[in-house]
Amino acid sequence: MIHEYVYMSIFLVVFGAILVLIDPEYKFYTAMAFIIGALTSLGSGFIGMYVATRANVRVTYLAATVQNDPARPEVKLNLYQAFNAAFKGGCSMGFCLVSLALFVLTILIIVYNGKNLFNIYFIIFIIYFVTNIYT
Amino acid sequence: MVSELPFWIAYVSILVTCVIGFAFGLYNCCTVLNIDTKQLPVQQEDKAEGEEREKITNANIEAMNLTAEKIQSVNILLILRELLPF
Repeated sequence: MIHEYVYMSIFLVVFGAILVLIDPEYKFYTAMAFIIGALTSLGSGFIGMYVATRANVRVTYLAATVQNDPARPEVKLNLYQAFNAAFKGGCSMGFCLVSLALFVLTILIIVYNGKNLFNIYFIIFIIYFVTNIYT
Repeated sequence: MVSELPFWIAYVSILVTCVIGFAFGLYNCCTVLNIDTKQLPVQQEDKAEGEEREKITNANIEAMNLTAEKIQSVNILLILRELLPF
């Protein structure tokens, strides 16, 4: 994970510099949108990996344990609880990632709105989401 | 002059939705991480069933070894036949 983040940081710096060089009109804003999008995506990825690895351990453990429920003696395995844990583990990653991405995008739009840069919205949107998908 | 009020209503509603979604994700995350993996009893495997499974596994491994030896000998023969002129 550390290696991945080191390589991503190098890519961020290099591609940010390229964006500054190839976009003379809005170079600062484009590069900022790219870097903020990448950082948000890195944070989302960290949360996702943290939750996914721990949730998988718990799902496996629940699926391999016997349920001692006197009300339902016919149910031997904890598959119901295991499915719930798996569903919630995936759900938390999805919700955190999407809400974080949309939150930062809205904040970017609000900040850039004050500078009357209406025509840059589309560029921000594309760069932000391409960065998110890439990372 | 276009009023900015509708835009701000949209921004605020999106931000509130994002915060609610993030909180829901964190709640699910905490629910999963709070599962204690030490209190639940692990399923005990039947001893006879375990021995039977071990026998089958050993038999499978032996069969695989035999097959691998056969394949190796066939390959060596084929290679020799290709290399030698007669």
